[in-house]
Amino acid sequence: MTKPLNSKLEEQYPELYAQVGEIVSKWGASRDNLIAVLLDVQSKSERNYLSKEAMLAVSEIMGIIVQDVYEVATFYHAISTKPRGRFLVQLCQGTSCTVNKVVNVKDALEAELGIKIGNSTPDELFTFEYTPCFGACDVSPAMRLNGKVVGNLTPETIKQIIGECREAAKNE
Amino acid sequence: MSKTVSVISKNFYKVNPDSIDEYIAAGGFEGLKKAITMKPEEIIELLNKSDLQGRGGAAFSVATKWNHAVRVSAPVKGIMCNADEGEPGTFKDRSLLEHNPFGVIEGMIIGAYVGGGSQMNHARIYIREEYTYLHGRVRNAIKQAEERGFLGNDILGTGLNIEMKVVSGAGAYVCGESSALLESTEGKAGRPRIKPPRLNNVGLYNLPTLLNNVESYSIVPILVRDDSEYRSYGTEKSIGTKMISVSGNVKKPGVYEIPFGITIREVVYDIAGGLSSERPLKFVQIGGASGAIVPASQLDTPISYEGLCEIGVAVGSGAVVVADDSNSMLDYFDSLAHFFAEESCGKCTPCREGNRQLVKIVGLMKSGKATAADFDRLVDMLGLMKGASFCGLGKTEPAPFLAAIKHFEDEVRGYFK
Ligand code: SF4
Ligand code: FES
Repeated sequence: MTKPLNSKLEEQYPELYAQVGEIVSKWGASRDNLIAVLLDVQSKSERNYLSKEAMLAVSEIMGIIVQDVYEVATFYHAISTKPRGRFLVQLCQGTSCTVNKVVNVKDALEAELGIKIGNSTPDELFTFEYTPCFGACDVSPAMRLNGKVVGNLTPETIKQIIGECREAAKNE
Repeated sequence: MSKTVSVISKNFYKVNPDSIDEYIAAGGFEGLKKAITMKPEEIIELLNKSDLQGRGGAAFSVATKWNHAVRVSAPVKGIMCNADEGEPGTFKDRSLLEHNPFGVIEGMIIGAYVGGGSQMNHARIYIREEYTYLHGRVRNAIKQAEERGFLGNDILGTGLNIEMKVVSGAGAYVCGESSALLESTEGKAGRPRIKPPRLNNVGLYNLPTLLNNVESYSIVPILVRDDSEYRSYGTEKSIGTKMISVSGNVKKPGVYEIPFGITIREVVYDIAGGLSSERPLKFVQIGGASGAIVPASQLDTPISYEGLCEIGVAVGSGAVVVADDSNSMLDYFDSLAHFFAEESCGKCTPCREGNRQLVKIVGLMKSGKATAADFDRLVDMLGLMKGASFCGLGKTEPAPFLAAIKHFEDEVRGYFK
């Protein structure tokens, strides 16, 4: 680890700093572990994203200039630098899902969530976005719900799935 | 008679993919054991005899690639497996990793034996983030192979050293391009590198690197062990079998292994059960998002390198997306244009700006405001992207649009007033 002796960031965000430090020591501080570290740090964040502070901490601890960390964080779809909902709903916009009328599923999701695609619900429970094909075309139309594939979607199953998410959030 | 075969997929649903013992009992690692009794040149000759072509999409001769690797001698090398299967409509590498992870690993070890470094080989399996649920299985397979001495130091007493790891992608289609894949493996943004130098000379961590697709590696141990069954299938010019992913408006979407030479019609109607809607078929797209659109009138084309080539189509990733007549070309354009605009890495102007324009024109088509001049702009733009883009993404992207304009000209022109 190459972290500075006196880190202002560490003083300000001791918890975050310690957490990032742990993740870096798990993967190793060499540059080729940057993506794995960023994914891991993101997964530990409550809002499923990489905050500015988290990126600064990664930069300091791994000894990679912050511009590079930011470039990588913004290049990849799986990493978000904006806060996301407790449930990330990613609907496939690929060719196979398109011919299986994913548009009907999109309409159903918009109606059920009360938002247009590309947005988060005001209660911050759901973020709803399009995503490229994730190789589940055999069960198209499909979406990823917090990374898990849910396929063979219909407007009816959408109601049920979203209902279950709301239920789960209530019981937390 | 069933039209599918099982040579590459022989272990599917029969051999527990989490158990190296079962893999070995089913003949696993016999290819490797035989390989180490052979000279690298003999193994290359064997691949050449079956004319094995890269199965990621580019269809470059594996024997030629490996031959280059042998000619570049170095103490330390990179051995990469491209499991960043991002072509829309493609999921056959997913099933190979899921059902036969040891086969992929065995193929990579043979690759390292043939074209690897004399002292050390850094082997990496770059698996897309979307397949995170498979990372654990492959890591577990690597661990078991290490425990049995198939990985690590002095493998089977040959002096071959390999340290193998799984690397996760983070969602970027362009990383399927080999040099972008290496950039990403090194922890950088996945933008393609300028070539030359070829990856064979300067690749992963600047080491000479051998890179192949999941399916290509999976076939190698089968060929080395006994290539007679594989070679009994196919056509004169396309020997063997191919894993394909069939999806879209069909009754039985899925991954199938077919002998080269059966027709698209056989795949759609006999293997995938025909159309789920019972409506007439309008077109299929072969080979992924940048594959050409094939109209119903060409369904009797055989799926083989030479058969598809005759109608200007490439085998590509082996994706077959089937669309019935309820689908408009406009919706399909919309899906493709958004996909490429999202995935363009932004490094070069023709692809970055071309895709922005493409999305704009499709938007105009959708709102009914596109004019004849926009049509000409579209065709110009596609020509430009094809000719001037930096990497394969921008170069091959125009193919489906141009094919659709050719085969469905009236419909496409109808969107321009
Ligand atoms: S063609 Fe250019 S902009 Fe498009 S992905 Fe390749 S390098 Fe990036
Ligand atoms: S096209 Fe939607 S998962 Fe592949």
